Amino acid sequence: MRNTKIISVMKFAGCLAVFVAVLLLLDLMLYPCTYVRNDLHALTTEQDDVLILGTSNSRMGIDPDTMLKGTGKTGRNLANGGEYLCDSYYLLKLAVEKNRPSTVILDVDPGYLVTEKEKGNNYLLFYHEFPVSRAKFSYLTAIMPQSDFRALLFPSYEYPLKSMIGRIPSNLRVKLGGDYSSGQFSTANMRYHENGFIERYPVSEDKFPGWNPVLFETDQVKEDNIAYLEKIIRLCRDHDIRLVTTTLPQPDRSLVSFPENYEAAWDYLSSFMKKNNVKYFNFNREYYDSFSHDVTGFVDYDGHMNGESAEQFSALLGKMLFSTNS
Amino acid sequence: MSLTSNLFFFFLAVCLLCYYLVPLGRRWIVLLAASCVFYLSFGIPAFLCLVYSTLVTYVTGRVIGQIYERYTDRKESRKRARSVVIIGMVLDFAMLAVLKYTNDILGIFGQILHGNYSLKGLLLPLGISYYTFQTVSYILDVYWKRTEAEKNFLHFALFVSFFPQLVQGPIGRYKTLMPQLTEGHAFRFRNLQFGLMRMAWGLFKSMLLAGWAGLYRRAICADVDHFSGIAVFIVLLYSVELYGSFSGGIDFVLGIAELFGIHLDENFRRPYFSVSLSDFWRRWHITLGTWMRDYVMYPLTLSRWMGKIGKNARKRFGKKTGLLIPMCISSIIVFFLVGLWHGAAFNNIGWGLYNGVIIAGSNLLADSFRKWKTALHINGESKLWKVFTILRTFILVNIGWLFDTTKNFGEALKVIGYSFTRLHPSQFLSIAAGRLGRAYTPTALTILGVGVLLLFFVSLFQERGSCIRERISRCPLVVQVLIFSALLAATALLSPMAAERGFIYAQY
Repeated sequence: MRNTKIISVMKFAGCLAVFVAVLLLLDLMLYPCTYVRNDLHALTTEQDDVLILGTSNSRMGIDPDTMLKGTGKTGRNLANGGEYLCDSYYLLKLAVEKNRPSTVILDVDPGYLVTEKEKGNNYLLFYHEFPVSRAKFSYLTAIMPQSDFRALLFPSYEYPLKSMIGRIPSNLRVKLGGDYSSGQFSTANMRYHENGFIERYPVSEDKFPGWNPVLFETDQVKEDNIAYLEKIIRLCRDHDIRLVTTTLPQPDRSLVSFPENYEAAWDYLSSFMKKNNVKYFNFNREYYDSFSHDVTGFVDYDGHMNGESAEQFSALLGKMLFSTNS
Repeated sequence: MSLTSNLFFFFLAVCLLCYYLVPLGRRWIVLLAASCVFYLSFGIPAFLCLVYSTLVTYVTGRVIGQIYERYTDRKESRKRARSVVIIGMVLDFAMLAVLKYTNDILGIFGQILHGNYSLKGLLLPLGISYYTFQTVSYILDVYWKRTEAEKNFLHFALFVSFFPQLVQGPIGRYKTLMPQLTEGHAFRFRNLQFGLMRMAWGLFKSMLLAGWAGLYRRAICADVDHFSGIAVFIVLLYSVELYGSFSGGIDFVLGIAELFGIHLDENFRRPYFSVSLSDFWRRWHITLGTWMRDYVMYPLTLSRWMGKIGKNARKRFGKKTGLLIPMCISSIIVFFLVGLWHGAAFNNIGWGLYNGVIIAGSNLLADSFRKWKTALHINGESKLWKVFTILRTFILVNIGWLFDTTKNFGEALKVIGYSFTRLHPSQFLSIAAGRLGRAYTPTALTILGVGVLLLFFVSLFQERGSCIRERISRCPLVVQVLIFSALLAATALLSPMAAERGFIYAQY
């Protein structure tokens, strides 16, 4: 009887091992090498003084090298489209665990406060690339349970299988060879910089994509998002990290389209940051005049800047945050 | 807690571990605790509804049991028990009626009065229809002395709340389910093997087949006039979607129960191979069908007033037809209730009545059909005839569903019209590409087509009495794991990305 039980358990363990091996193999072959892989590799292997967290607006709006020019500091842009405050928190946790930065710039997009993290790609984009760490474990237990089983077992499920199959040889070469070169991330529309900054090439207004903004309403703010914002503030305080929050410039045409929603957002964020004693640079109200909001500096109405505009903005931000008088 | 979330799989793994680690006699406690935790994850108010239903039913059963013990006179005890049964059933059904049908009824008023009425914030506890029917069946079983009243409240609570079946059935019977839940099952590798395989097959049907079919159906439904060339596929896709989602969900649930060594009642038996609509209802949502048969149809047909109707009918239409009329009336009432069970909206009730009227009509005309068959020299045993009856039933079922899947009656008629006048399957390729260009591509169509073919052949094997899982279990273990992994990987990697609808029948 006992033997039968042991054999059953051993059989199950064997099956589990084969199943896990299949999953790992599929992941190795099919999961694409994204720039988040490079970002997190750099985050855990290099020491950067300044980290930029937030959404795609800051990924395309802040070039750390330009911002920190002449300061002797180094920086890394870890902001991303679909990066919710919970992701920023675990990225920061990982950074604290591996190489603690001295300053964190957190770009807060009001749209991300009133929506819930999508189930899907963004769950895995960050989590998947986390190296084995306490931060990864916390991420797993706090965020991943809500996601679909596919996000954990088959992280490549959100990518078209047809194109992923074609990429198997290059995936194997890059992953097994430990290749972290970034040339492959640049496209006809953008250039990926080693420091994480994405430089968008200028687009004329008539070629702007359709705009469907997520409008801010104070009563729609999700408690979870605010809880993570508070956690970020606490984590920075506990580790003596300087935290600066920003909201990057939006094109004028966007701001005038929904003035009430934007005003409500700025009111909410200003009072929240004030209450928590965090420096907040809102380039759409308090610091409106310090940077141009002309639509020619952007590639869409969502507020993604083109490279030239981003370089100017980064220089301005650097001056505001890191000049000796600041 | 979504059934396909990582949290649920983790929860299931912990439950299994605890179940097999505690002594045999106490394993039911693990199941009860797990069921409570699972249902609590949907909120305390929903949990309180479940507790209410459990308490009402338990007390009703106990009181009926005590009446039967105390009163030896059969007539007297029956009379007293009957009033308790009525109270218990009213209390059980009242909660279901208030929570499930209030908004449906307000919606009907809204349609009539051209207004928009609804009670916002009205709680609709998950699986309320399933557990209410389960508790009512218990009350009636105790009343009809088919089973003894349960004395142990916690045992009874487990019967009502057993977590795998709570969300979307099957509707369990006390007599078959209760002993399995409380006896405690030893760990057997075969249970894991078969359970996991069934879960994977369920996910394949629900996420891949139903996912793609639903995606295409919704795209065509959104602009029927534009996609008039493929309008006929709306209902075909809906039949794949509904069957894939519901039977896939049930496979998933049955697989979970099997991991614990518990065999729940089957809810599907290849319904699209049915040779008549009555046959279809013996194969589709079987536990609802048998529930209706045992607790509505039989008591209704054998009731005193139905007897009177039968007597009058025999006098007027002759013995044979007279005997059939009470059955036909019962069928129509039963299917009205089946429609109502799905919701109090016009389309649900209409769909139920559609089924009831066809079944009643077929019963009444059965003799005429037989005569026609003989006159036309049709061999009822031939394969060709069987294929014809299968197709005929499939079309009848689909016509019923057409009125459920389209926006209104007018659109359903329009779809029927387009189906005969404007068939252009190539329009499938003209649906604008979805997110990341993966949806509505030739690849997506191929995946759906291959998936449907796979389902067809598996069903065909099963229909011929072959057990696929049994066959797979004879392969070397590594091969079994690879088949399991392939099925799961295909589900994950080939299903639509945004298949977040969950299991359709989990809303009832």
